[in-house]
Amino acid sequence: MPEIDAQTYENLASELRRGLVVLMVLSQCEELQYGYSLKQRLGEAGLEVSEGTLYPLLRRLESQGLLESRWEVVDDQRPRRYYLLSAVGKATLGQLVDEWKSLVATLARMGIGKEAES
Amino acid sequence: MNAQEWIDRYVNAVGSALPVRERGDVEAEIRSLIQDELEARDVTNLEDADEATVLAVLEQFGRPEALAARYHAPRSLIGPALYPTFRIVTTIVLLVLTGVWVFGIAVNVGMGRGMLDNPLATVGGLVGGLFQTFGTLVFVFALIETFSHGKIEAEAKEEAWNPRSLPKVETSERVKVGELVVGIGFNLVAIVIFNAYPEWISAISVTDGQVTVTPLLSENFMTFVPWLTLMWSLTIALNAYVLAQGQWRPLTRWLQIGLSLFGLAILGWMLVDGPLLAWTALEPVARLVVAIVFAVTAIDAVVQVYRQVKRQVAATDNAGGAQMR
Repeated sequence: MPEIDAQTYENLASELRRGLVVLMVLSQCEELQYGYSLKQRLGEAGLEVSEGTLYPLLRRLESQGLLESRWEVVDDQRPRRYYLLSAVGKATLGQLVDEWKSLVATLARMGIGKEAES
Repeated sequence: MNAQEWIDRYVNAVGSALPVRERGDVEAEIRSLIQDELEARDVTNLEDADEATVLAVLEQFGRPEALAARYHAPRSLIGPALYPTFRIVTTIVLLVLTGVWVFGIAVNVGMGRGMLDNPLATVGGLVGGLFQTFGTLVFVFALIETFSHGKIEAEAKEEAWNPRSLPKVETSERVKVGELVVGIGFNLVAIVIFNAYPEWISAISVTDGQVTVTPLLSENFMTFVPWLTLMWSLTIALNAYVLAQGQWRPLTRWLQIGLSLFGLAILGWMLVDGPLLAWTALEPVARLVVAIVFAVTAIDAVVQVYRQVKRQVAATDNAGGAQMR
């Protein structure tokens, strides 16, 4: 069976994941998180995301008002930035989850993913 | 080099690619994130950290400029919303500047100021002027881009769009590149010869082994040269514009017809005015040649007008038919 090259496949898969990363990050920020702790949590759940993607994304979500951040001093030694879901972020997360459920239902109606279930 | 120095280098490289107002905050955050990554690798004190571990962490963060670009998308000097306007303005300004320059040279040469004694310096002046003007336009548009802070783009996106505002498809003809290029070449040669080297148009006779060179063009003819130069310059500008566009449009076709009429006016004036040649014996031949050129240009102009009107009528009919469907 002919296959596309690895790079093209990676680009397609990355596009598919991109939108979901926001949903996943917002969901994990219901508890106070700092960059590395969030990266660890996502990794443990099965989402490997690079530093160059995750950390700038946190700031973008903050500038969009979905996250709030504050600096705290760790071990009386050095500062660390923590992120938490804002009120707007909570409402948006709820909407995004509904959107995701709707997409999953659409996929099911199209018969996509049936093979994986059976 | 110790661990701290590598981190300083990396943070500085990211920061220097960011706008000043964001730099401090992002630098502090990246520094803190690097330390978190190092702590996860059991490095609690930077002084004890080995170089290889720090470099591995920095490699994971990726190229500094790529990371900076993710924190702050690079801005364009002239963004996509402004670019079409920039292109139109630049094309018009540079074409007009070239036309004015050529006309100015012709007038100066006509007045005997010898502007073409050093053709390289004169052309260099034009090229320098064109670059300077282009630079100024880029600077002005870049300022507009900077101070609009992307508002033009955002407004363009938010503005309610109505498909009825779509412009009518204009009838266009593909250009014959060779024809236009040859036209530009001939007009340029004419400008240079008639302005800089009119003595090249001479009659050479040999009598008893003695070669005599007699300039053919009369002083009266030379009074037409600035007008001819203006026409040739405008023809060059039009051909260059059509080449850049890749097609003739109704406006450019009408401009071409206008230039033909301008040429006819000059030729007609030449026919009714004083002698064209210094060598009076050849004057009837010269007048005959001008008369033939006049007739050919006149027929060509009439044909062009007929074809253009036909094209536009056909385009209107097609548009009506499309609406009916």
